[in-house]
Amino acid sequence: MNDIIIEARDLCKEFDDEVVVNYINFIITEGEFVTLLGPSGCGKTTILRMIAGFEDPTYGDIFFYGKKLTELPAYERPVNTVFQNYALFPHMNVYENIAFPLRIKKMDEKTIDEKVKYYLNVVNLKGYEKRNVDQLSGGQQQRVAIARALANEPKILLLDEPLSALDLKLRKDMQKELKRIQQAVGITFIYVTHDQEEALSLSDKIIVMRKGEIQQVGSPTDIYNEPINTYVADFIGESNIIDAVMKENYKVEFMGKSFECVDERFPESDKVKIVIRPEDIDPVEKGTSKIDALVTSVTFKGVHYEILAEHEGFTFMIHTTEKREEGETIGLSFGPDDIHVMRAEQRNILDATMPENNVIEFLGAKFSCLHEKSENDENLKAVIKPADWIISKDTRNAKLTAKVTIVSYHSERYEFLAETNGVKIMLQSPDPVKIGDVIALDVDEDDIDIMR
Amino acid sequence: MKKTKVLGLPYGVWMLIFIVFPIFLMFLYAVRTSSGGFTLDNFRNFFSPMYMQILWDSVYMAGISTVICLLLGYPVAMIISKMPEKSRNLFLVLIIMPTWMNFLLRTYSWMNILGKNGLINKLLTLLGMNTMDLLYNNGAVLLGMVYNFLPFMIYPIYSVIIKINPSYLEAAKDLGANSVKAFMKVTLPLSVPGIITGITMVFMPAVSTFVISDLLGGGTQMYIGNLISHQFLQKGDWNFGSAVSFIMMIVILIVMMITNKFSKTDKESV
Repeated sequence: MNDIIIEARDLCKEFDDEVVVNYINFIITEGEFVTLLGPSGCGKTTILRMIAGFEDPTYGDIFFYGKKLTELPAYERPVNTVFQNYALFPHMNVYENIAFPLRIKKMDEKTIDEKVKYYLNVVNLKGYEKRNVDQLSGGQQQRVAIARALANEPKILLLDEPLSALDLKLRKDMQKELKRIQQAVGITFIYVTHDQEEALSLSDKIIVMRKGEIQQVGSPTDIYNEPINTYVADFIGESNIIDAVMKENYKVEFMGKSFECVDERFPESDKVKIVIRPEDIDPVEKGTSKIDALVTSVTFKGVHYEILAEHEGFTFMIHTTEKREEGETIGLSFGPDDIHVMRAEQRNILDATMPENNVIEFLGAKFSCLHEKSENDENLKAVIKPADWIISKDTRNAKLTAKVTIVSYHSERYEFLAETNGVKIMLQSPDPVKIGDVIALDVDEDDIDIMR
Repeated sequence: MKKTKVLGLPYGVWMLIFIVFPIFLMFLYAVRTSSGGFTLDNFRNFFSPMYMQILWDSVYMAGISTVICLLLGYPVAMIISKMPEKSRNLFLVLIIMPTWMNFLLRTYSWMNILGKNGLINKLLTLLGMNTMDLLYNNGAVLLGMVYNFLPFMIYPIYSVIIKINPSYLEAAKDLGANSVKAFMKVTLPLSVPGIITGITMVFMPAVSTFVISDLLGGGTQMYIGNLISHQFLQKGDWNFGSAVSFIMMIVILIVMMITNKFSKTDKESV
């Protein structure tokens, strides 16, 4: 078991009251290749910059072998960064760029020379010493940036989307190169990217992020095969996400049929979502499997065909090497271990107070409820399911109004986020809503659960 | 290609009439006597100890004021570039604002401040101290030069520093440099082009000024600018005046070549 090299505890970062990183906790062990994965704006780069020392956390700490890293200035931290734009010094040649950290440490010329040559060799750039950095290609600049960071002999190398400026072919080569370099120097790499394929092929561990929060931490195979929610499933590759019901262990029902699966039932609810990866579905003769579907589109993708096939209003995506024709009806076959079950229920958990029995106050409004006051109400939360809100477009005399910020359509219903008093709440409605709409909200007393 | 040539024509004509032709005219005056014969005496005369002293004094004063402008201007440019955008623009305007006023007016107001009955001496009398001779000396001339030309040092340095990618500084700190080392090894070398432009923009007008030395120096010491204006306006010796102007052009050219060499070697060593 390797030692823990980095630990983030309750890490928070706000910029101008906007929460970018929200109470994040994770550990990274020695020698790991860890990837922070998420779309732009999810806070992954901010975490990296806090480890490097370019940003101070608003709250929380980062520990390096159990010691507070956040107390050290950037130039004293045992970490080095490979910047997204490489940040090679334009007034120095390749040699001087790599020698920079060594000259700062006042090493003698002979040692400097040895180290520069050694790390140029590591990144396969022997003989490029005298080149100006602006004479190098993107990939070569990338290597110099890595050599420069490694020359300082850090305990951890931080890489901020290092391959995003390279073209596809070069990116693939550099991926292999990075993995090789990491194995050669044997230090911990913390890698930031929005490219799921890059994350899957490089990492020992992936931290999937969304809006400043961690969604899932796991090995690439865990993340791909057992995504914890629809967000992760959707973000990591293509997927078919289907609403389903699970009444007992190892048995899931969807599209009116019952299927065997390898997961146990979640104790709190029957409602689940299942993920089936497009490459896990095999097209078979119609009638030979539980689901028949009408092929609506066939696209050749090089290695495989991407087939879209419809069954009862749901469109399946299938990746297969077999060619099928549009308009053909096919059977869809998949095994129990191809069905990945996830929790479907989402709940709003809101800070609340209880001024008197059967009255609960949250989001600045009072609601009647079926619960009574108790002594330990300091951490009282009101729990409301997205579908239980009573939504109205008439905001006159409304108890609570909210502004719609994000809307997504999921077969037959709209799922959306609305903001009120700085709090985002999840809502669901069969009627269409638009971003920017102001809506009135209410909840029935028997739909308010509490948590203490 | 043809089109750009046609479009460039007016500028060519303009430069011919207002730059090349006057220089040629000046050259003609410089190599002729007042009676019309050709001579090199105008140049030869200049290389006398008296005029060489004047040339040296001018270059020396301009050099000192350029150094002072650099020492004052660099930190100011640096501080402004680190400010949030709103105050940055405000400070830039404040620095440029004096140049919106007439140059003579500004210099005259310094006479009012420094003069025998000027603001400073009045204050000193009020405090019961002796008055000082602040005007009509080299110090006053230097002050006038620095005051008038400082914005031309700040602006080019600022515009270079503001364009330095902040990630270079982050990289320097990341690689172990503290703020002082990061400045010496990254910011300063990268701001050399701005320093060179600043030096040129201050040195050139400083070496040729005659208004500042006339008004604030009171004619106690003659500089090359005064010499030229004297030849043209008082003595009416246009031929010698032209020769001196020509020599000054060459001096400025040499200084520019030296500074440019600096920026080039800097790029090459990089």
